[in-house]
Formats: sequence, structure tokens, C-alpha cells
Amino acid sequence: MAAALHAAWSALRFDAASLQRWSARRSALAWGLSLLLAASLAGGLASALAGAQACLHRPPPGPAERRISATLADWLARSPLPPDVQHELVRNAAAALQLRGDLASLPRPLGRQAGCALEGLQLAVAAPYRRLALWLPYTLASFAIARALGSRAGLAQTLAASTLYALPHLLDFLQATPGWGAIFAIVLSAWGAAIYAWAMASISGLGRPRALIALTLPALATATLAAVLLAGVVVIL
Amino acid sequence: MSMRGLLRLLPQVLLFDGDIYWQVKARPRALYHGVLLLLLLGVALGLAGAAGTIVAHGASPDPGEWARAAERGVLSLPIVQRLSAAERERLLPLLRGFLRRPQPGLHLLFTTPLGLLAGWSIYGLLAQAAARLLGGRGRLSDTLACTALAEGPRALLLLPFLPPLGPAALGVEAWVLAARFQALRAAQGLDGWRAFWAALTAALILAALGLAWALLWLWAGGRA
Repeated sequence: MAAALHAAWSALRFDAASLQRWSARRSALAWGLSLLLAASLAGGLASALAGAQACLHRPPPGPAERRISATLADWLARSPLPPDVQHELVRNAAAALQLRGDLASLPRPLGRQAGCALEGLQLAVAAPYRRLALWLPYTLASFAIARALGSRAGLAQTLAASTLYALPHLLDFLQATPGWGAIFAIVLSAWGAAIYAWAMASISGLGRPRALIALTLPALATATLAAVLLAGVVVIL
Repeated sequence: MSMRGLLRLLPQVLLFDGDIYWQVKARPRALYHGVLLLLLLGVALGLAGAAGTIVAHGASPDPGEWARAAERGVLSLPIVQRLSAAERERLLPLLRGFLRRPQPGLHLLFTTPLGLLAGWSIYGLLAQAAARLLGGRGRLSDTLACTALAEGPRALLLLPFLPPLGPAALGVEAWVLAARFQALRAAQGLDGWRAFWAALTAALILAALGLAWALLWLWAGGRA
């Protein structure tokens, strides 16, 4: 426990030597996974409470959906997409939002209150899986690229070091603060990303350019795939 | 190695300890115990899945009513309206299959272990073929025994209130894939990169087969 707390403190100070000593321990990955679970539950419980609250007090479909469609139209107006494609995207998004609202307002077998409470509970339980689905595939891809570029770090060691990115996310419940949610979300995500990049670069033992390639290539590949899919949607429209 | 001994190795599978697969490979009746482990895991996952669908049934609107409302809504989307009547007709079975929500029931107790066994055995055969092409020297029974243990991370899904995860299940799949890589490395005596390509190739082929099967199932389900 003392070693884990020391590792957490070294991550917050970006102390590479301490990180390497800690991640080589057999218990490091178990501790790191516990950290991921704790961070997920901290954020998940807050978002579950907010979700259940929103479900209980959901206004009838209409004004909120129109507001989102107007925001999307403003945003698309600044994009290079042709006006007819913009119009089609907004029309489809508005119809999809309307459908989402209609489905959410259907009656539930256990009644609205129990249904919303159960929905909130399910949201909290699924939170660690959502974090895992982002962290593990990305880290495995970065690890494979780093190894191809000459890193000698082991799998368990790399995974343990990368879990430290979850440290700032222990404060994710702050995102429930009214009016400050978006600011806390940006600050905590940027802080977590900085720790992740530093931990992965330190543990891989690669120079800065190669570490940067290993870290960014999975993101670039994902962005390219998303762009291809978006282009496909635009062509269909 | 007894069944209890195999269960004791599960935490090490979760912590990516690649040495345990060498222990599995060296033990007699490893494949038999691996199959038993998979059956146990499958039944437990089936129970958790059945409990999950009961909870989801209580939390969500009536599945039939939800599917009808969703179908009406999807068909009225402008992008779907632009399709010709014949194209919409072709889309309908797939859409109905996709919108069908799981009904609470004990059928998961049977379908989950069978699905797990089918996925494991097909993956094992594909991985054995890929590993052999890449210079592997292990027997099929070694591959199957080691990859049976590599299914261990699916135990993370043993939560009764867990809703259908959708894309969030990707993390557990990635965990299983990384464990399969370590399993193949030990079972076939391959170096890291060859084991990586063997594990990835088999997983990609299995994913393509799974996607084709899911589309067929959705299409058939929508027509029923």
C-alpha cells in the first residue's frame, strides 16, 4: 500500500525513476486495476445519480431536442460541408433525437421511479467496463507499436504504469458540480492524458519521437477510420 | 492439475502472468479441465446474463412496444425515407432483428455456455492453423488447453445487474485477446511477434465469422 501511494505521488510529480521501480513490482498491475475500478466507480456513481435524476424529471420531448439541433446546425455552418449535406445532417439528427425522446418516455413495467433507479444502478455498474473499453485496447495497441519501435518494457509493467492516468479521475464526481461540469471534465481529462503520455513514454524507454509515434498512432488510426465512416455517411446523404 | 488448481490460476490470467500457460501445458488432462472450466464459466455467465435481462426488463419499457416505436421512428428518418420501397423492404428484416430486445428467460443458461465453447473451439482451430504456418510446434490439445484458460477474463462479466454492454464489452474482449496471445506463445513455443500475428489473425477471422453469423441471425430473426 505504501509503495502504491508512493507511485501515485511520483506520477503526480512526473518522477520517472520511481515509476519504473514501482511498475516492476508484481503487485503493481493489481493495484493499478484497483485504481481504475475506484476511479470508474467515483465517476460512475455521480453520473448514475445525475442520470436517474434526469430520467425522473425528464421534460416532454421537444424544446431540448430543438436546442441541440440548432447547436448542431450552427456548428455545421462553420464546416466545409456543402449546405444541402448540412441540411440533411441536421434533419436526420433532429429526427433521431425526437425518436430518442419518444422511446425514453415509454411507460416502464416497474413504474417510472423504480425504472429510473434501476437505470441509474446499471449506469454505475457499467462505468468500469466503459473505462476498460477505452484504456485496454488503446494501451495494448500503443504497447505493440512501442515494442515494434524497440521498447523492452513488459506487458504487465506497461499496463501497470498506464493505469496511473486514472489518478485525476478519482475526482470525476466534481463533474456533477452545477455549472462547472464541463470545465472539470476538460481539466481532469487533460491531466489524466498528460500522466498517461508521460507514463507510457517513461516505461517504454524510447526517445521522445518514437514514444510520440507509439502514443499517437492508435489515435490517428481511429481518427482515420472515423473520417472514412463520416465520409461514407456524407456520400450517402 | 485439478479443476481447483486451474481456478486458482484465474487471478494470474487476469494479471497477464504468461508463465502459467507453461504450467498448464505441462500438466496431464489439461484439456479436460479446460473444458470443464469453460462450462462452469459459461453456466455462471448464463445465470448472470439471465439476471441482467430480468433487471433490464424491469428498468426498460416493454420490449415489444419499444421495438414497434423504434421501428416506426427509424422508418420515418429522412435518410431511410430516401430509400426506394424495394430497398426499405430489404432493410426491414435486418432492422427488426436489430431492434428485438432480449426477453428475460433461462435460455441464456444453455446458449451462453454453448456459445463460449463454440467460440473457443473455433478460435483454437484457427489459432493452431495460423501458429503452425508461422512455425509453431505445439499440439492442438496444448493450444486448446491454454486458450481455455485464456477465456478467464470473461469472469469479469459475472455481475448480476450488468446491462447489455454493447461497445463497452470491447475491453473484456481485448483482455481475452491479450491472454490468448500469451497462451499461444506458451502452447506453440513461438516468439512474441509470431504469437502476436497468430493470435490476431485467428481473432480477425473469428470476428468476421461472428459478424456474418450475427447479420444472418438478425435477418432471420427479423423475418420470423
